[in-house]
Amino acid sequence: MADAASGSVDRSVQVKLVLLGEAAVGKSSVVLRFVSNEFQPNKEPTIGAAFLTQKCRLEDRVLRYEIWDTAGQERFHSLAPMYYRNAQAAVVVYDVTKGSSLEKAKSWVKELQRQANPNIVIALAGNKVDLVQSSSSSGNTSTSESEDEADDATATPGETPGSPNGEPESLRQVSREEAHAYATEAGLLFFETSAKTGEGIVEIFTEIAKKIPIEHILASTRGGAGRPGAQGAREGVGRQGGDVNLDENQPKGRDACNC
Amino acid sequence: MADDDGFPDPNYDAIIFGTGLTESIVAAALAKAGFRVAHVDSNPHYGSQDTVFSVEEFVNWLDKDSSILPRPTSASWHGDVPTNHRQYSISLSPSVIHSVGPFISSLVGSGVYRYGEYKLLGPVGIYEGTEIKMVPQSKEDVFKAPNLSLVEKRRLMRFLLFAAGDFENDQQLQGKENQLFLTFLQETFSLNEEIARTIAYSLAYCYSSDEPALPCLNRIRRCLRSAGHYGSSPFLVGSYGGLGDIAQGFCRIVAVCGNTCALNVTVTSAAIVTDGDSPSTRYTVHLDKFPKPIHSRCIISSADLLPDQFRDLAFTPASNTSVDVSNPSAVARAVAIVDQPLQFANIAQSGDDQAEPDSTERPPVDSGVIVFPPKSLQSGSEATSVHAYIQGPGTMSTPAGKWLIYLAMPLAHPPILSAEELLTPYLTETLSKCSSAEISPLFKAFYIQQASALRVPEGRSPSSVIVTPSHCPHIALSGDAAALAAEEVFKRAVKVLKRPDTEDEAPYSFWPPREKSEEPDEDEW
Repeated sequence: MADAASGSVDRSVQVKLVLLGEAAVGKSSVVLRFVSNEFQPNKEPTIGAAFLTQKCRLEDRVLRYEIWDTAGQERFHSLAPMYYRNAQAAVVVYDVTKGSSLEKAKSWVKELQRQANPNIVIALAGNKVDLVQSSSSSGNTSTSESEDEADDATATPGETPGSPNGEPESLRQVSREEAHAYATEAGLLFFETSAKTGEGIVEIFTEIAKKIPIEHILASTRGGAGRPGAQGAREGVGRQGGDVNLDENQPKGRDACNC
Repeated sequence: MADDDGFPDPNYDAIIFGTGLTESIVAAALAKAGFRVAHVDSNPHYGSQDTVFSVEEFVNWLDKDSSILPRPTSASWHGDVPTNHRQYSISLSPSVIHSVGPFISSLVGSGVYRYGEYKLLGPVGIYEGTEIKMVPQSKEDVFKAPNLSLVEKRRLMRFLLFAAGDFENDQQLQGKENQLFLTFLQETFSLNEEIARTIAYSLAYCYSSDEPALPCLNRIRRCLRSAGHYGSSPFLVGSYGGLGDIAQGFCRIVAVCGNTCALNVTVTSAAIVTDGDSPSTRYTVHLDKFPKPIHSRCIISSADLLPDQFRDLAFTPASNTSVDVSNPSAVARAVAIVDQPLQFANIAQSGDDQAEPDSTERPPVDSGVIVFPPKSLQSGSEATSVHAYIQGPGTMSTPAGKWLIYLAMPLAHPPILSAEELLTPYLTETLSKCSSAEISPLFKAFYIQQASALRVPEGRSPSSVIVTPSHCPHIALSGDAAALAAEEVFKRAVKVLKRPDTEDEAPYSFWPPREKSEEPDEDEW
């Protein structure tokens, strides 16, 4: 971020993205795959990160995703209104091997439509698709990198997935067709993903990036009102907007730190 | 992991009741220090007595919703709940934030500042002689102030220099620490009564004329040291309702550190389990909605939410530091929504209003404070000052084209009049002085906020049932009071919880410095 301090006019657009979904569907793993291109089996329930950031290049624009994980606060209906506020995008995750998790995802979509920014771009992600694929079909699933993510670390193909075993298709409880139909009806982007193999992960974030009204965000940021995210354009126009950077004595650009 | 599976773990270092600002800061500090925390609130939302409401939630609370303790009394409201009521953030604890002080230190030390936005407070005015006068925010303002004679300016500057320094050992204060502040200003610094009142009410933010000198001086010093830090105003305004929103941020830190938060849960039973000596005292709490109890070595609670079973053990740590203000037993409050920009139009800012009568075209105030000293308003209070706090769309607490006005009057005794009767004259005067047009509020509400009913007796022997000190409703000191109280509670909790073999206190400092590994490392991308 050394560049952000010097070149204060950063062309990147900050986009706040929130994750939602039932516990243990793999929300954090989806982000970890996107941000670090890693997968940790048997990952502990979410600990540690307030939010992560990752850039995503789209034509001549760079989106900087500020990704908020629930930190487990979804469990007892204790997500704060602060969580949804100013989110321009949401990824609602369910587990294709757990039917009830799609129902939970639907209720999160309703909650977003009630609480969040009316223009929010929502993507539905059926995760753990690796569990329901036979080894032949899983193949090399993460070859879908497009030029869009030229500088995006996650576009690099991941390690080859371990061979699934057994009769995986029997594990599936949510059919692709059913979820897709719901997503279409509700106006959501839809993907089946595997944080383990990387399948579909980059696509979610790229497709969301295409749908985000970037010009609108830039315009409202310039105006100093209706700021996109909690951190939106702080370095750029913060002063004009009257915003005070409380940590101004510290080195700039710690917006990606773990807590 | 379904909702009713209960807490992921039955054992905690501390169970914390309440998500008010103080409890939330304590919870976050303990979580960051590595303790296991269960953070619960019987309310369906974060913030307890500091919470932020939409207009609809606010009127529900005034009308019937008894979930937040203590309950409001003398409540009334008029007007319509706006259809976009969610775009308003109505704070139960409207307060500005000192730019330098314990609260800002906690915001930065915890990282919670990154979740919110902060702006400098706009103008501060004082109502005297039927007009609002601008309060100088800097030395330059004092120099330029045309209402003051050269002698008065010199005396005032002498006082400000004194108040910004280490006055504790200054001879001018010796033996006069408990003298009435107004008397002290007039006798020791030869300031005239009007200047003395301006200092006492709009710099020290005194509630009344009978406050002693030393605490007022401490408050002024805090103000003077805050001025110029981020800009001319010593105060910041937190967006989206301020303190209640910030409390959510501290609660998020608790979760981010791997701990469990649960809202809307009540205690069905609670027990103290002592095996022999007291250091091994354990507490067991059953919560509705969860089949299994949770256990802890320490209980931390707001006075309102403390389970009855723990009352006899409850203790509140004595504080070595304070914000130097004593809390009133209740506060009469008003909230109004208007759709006209507010201007401090009649402010004789530089007194050059004779030369250029520019009172017509001043920019609207996005945030500002008006102080009504005691006896300043004919139909107002003789004894106490009233603070008006204005928030506009820039504070993100209202939608475009709308302004919120908060009024607060501290009450020493149960009042004979209703909150509405007490505060209506102030609201009327604020509106008529802040706009050339006739403004009638779209919505207005009045209520009395009581102090907590449970008073933990002083001098109780320290235990592991720690009750947070009472809420400070002061417009300028609420956040600092919460942070100081939280630090005292944190220190006591650490004493109870730390392993006996660790002598080193370092890992348990309040907001330990961020470690290297926590630094952002995404920058190379």
